[in-house]
Amino acid sequence: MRRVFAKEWHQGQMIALFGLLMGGLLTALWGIFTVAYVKDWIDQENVNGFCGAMFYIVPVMLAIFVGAGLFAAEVERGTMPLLLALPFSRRQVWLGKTVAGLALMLSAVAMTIVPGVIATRPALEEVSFWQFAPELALGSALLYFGALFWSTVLTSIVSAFLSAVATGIGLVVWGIVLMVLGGRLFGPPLLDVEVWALAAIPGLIAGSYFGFVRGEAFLGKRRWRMPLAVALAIYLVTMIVLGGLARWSTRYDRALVQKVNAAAVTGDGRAVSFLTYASPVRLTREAEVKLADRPTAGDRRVYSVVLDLNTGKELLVRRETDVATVSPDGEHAILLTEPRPLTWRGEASNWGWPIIEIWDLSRKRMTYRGVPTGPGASGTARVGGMQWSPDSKWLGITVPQWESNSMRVLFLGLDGRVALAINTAGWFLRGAGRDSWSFARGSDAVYALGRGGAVTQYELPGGGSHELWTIAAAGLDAEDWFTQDGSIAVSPNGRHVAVALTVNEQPAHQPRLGPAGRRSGVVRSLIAVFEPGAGGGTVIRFADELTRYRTLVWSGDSTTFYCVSTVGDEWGSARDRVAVWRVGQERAKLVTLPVRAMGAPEVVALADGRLIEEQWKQHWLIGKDGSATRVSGAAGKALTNTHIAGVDKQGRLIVEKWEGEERLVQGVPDAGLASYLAAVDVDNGQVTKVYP
Amino acid sequence: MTDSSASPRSTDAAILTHDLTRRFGRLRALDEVSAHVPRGAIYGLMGPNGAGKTTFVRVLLNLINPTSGSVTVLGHDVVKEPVKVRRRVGHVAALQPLWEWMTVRDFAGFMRGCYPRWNPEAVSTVLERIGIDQAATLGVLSRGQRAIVAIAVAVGHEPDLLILDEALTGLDPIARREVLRNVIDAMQAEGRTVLITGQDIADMERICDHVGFLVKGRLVLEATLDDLKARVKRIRVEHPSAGSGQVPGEGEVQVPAGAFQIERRPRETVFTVENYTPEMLVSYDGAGRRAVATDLSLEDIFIDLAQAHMGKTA
Repeated sequence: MRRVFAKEWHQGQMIALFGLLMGGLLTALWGIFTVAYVKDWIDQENVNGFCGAMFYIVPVMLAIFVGAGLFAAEVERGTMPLLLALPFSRRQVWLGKTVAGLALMLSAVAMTIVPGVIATRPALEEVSFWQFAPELALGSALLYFGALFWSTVLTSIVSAFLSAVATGIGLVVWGIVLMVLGGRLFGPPLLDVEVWALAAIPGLIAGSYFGFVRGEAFLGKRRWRMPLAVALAIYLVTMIVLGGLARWSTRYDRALVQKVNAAAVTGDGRAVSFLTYASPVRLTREAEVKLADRPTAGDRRVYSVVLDLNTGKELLVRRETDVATVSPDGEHAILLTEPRPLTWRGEASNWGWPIIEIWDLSRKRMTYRGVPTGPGASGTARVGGMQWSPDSKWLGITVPQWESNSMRVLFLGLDGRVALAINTAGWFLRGAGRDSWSFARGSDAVYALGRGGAVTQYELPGGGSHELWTIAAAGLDAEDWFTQDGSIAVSPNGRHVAVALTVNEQPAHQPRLGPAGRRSGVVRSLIAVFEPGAGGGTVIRFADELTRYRTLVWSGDSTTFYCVSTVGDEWGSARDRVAVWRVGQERAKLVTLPVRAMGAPEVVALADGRLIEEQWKQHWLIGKDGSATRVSGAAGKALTNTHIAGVDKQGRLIVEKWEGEERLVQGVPDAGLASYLAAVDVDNGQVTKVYP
Repeated sequence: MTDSSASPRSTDAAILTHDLTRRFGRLRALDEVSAHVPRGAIYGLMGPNGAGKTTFVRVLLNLINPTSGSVTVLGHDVVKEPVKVRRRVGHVAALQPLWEWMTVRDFAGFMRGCYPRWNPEAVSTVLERIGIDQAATLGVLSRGQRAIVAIAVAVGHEPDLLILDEALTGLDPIARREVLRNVIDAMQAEGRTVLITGQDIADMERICDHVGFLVKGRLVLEATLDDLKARVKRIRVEHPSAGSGQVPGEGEVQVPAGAFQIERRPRETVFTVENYTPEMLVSYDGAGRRAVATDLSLEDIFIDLAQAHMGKTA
């Protein structure tokens, strides 16, 4: 084998030198075009793009060329019998040539790339060279082995070269077909297109090996059937093994759970639902970015989990569902799955609506599965938000209406039927309008904010309605003011309804400048509190300061409400401001948090009647007296890397906690961190319990 | 014909095949070939184009596998121990292409590294006699010179069996003579075996002591050269009494079974026999007839056998 290796290496040195020459040429080319006087008439981006592209193309071509020449060249030149008559076994000859070819290919690629990388590094960074370096290496390897296979089977270098190129293209196309078809037939794919393509490498190697050792293609006979059959068989086996392995390793009980998303504590604190990503490998930041770019690809699975906080046991684990929510009484869970067209079970007959699963958690039985039925459950739908009625009888599902810039809210019963569908105001770009309506205390009615600034009460079920409040009560004429956005919150005792509105001045003579709801004119903000049925109410003004991103939260004893807003327009200089208003008072206290706001506060929750706001991973406890205290444990470490999931009835803050290096990239915690749920005592910031 | 009645002679055979068959699809390139090449023999394997000579050589080197039958070379089963066989065999094919980017010295050096033993003098002697510069690149040498290089390097590891598969084709008379003198004679003097295939009957007749005739994949005859010449004769039966000008019928002049190349003329009948005995002539004597046996040259034998067997199998 050593002698064969040495001969191939000696013979192929010119290829490596050719790589060096190409690398040098490209480097020189880039250098010439970056000289000042040439730069003036040549677009530098084009030069960078060309050189960058060539740094990919040349190595790949070299890889194919090396592979294609290994065996076909010996046959073509008639030297194969000479080689085979040497006192070596076929296996030794095959190994010697293949390893030498691989070494040559790597050398040639390195010699092409390295000078260019050193000399033109800034330019290459601009064309994302490093981002695609793994693909380049794997692609070169794939094409090399493809060429090796065809070089064994065919008797001319050119045909082997062309066949290898065709094989590479074919495998990528096949990988895409597998990914798309597999995704549609069997759910989201487990492996990326590159993995499916690379899975061909063992088959190509085996086909080449057996074709050479057992076959006689080298004598000029077209004996391609056996090696091709071997290659296909091994490829099939590899795909089955890889797919099975990925499927097995991403089982919820086996996989490395890396991300806990959209967690929320519900009901009496007995259960919590969250989405989790399970992956067989620890995802890197780059992999996470890639998966975000291509959500249909990836070696991970998404699970919806309902967890019993007291025992730490999973009450329900379902794969590939998009949303999971648990009723306040902890008895039912509703899971939503976005429609996946062409599902072979025919579940997505109505493409517009997600598949809904309703589970009885006590009996661990699914009581309903299918698209919702009833009024409003038609057309296209993307769920924007969900809210359970306090008595756990209804689930309000908000669906943005893109065309009319409004919200449709459907009230789904536990039998899968929609009992009521209403339209409310709301700007779909923020919070999907989930705050523009609220259940009344008894869950037998709904209060919804209309586009004209009126609050209407709807009976549940049935749909009988009457107007409770209009902006005329705030001294504004509905003809001149148009509701752009708003929030509504009912106090827990049901006695007060708080409304926060952003209204646009819309004089009758002024033309409409945009789609409905996007009009010109003065923007004003107001907050009103009224008693249902009494009309009028208290109107609280805040000098138009609280103009954006309002969130209304009542304290548990119905004596106080908090309104969270953001002040300032400049990114980075904006501050969160919380208004604290107590029933009976004329004015609210304003608290400005000394934290830069990125926009809307990520999560707010109530703990023991106090508001907790999370902003930039800092948690603030805001009391009824308007005091603001940052929640932090000993040495301020307890609440780092956390995201509020909710608060249970014992006042414990349930957080999603990331463990690992603390680093934020544009507000996203660094991937590669394991995450879990933890309960935190808000008074001292200590983690009191960790849920597995 | 193939001497199938002989007992296994693997100990004294350099090459021994038994019912060796190799098919390419429906074509039988080798058809139940049972050959015996004694150690120390200079064996000439002859046959017309497409007879299966190169296929036979490739099977001996395990470049291709036999479809059925057994092959033993220097005591080793070529299918089970191909590397051992190739270690002891030198092989040169017709107009053997070489790695043209190598120099003669590189090529010899490469081959030297492939074998456990090496005699550089054996190589350089041949090259120097022909006048080939070892620093020359193989690509610039003529085809004949490359063939000389291939032959010279093939004996570098002092093989126990040298296979020249039409390797003398394309050599000029001087080079041919040098090869015959320096390579084959040396091999013979040292008691090593040479298998030569080709169609240059004159050379074969001059150097070979054993010959085999391969026709359409069948080994139709295998013998020592002397035995062959003694066994294969052309017999002419003269019958002047048949003066009618008509060709005598088969009943009037009966030829022995196995006779071939039969020519019936008005006054004589000529045919070739493979197993000539003087008694054959006696049976034709009398009644105005006279039988005469004529010696055949190796070329005549080759042509007669080839034509006869090609006609049979056609």
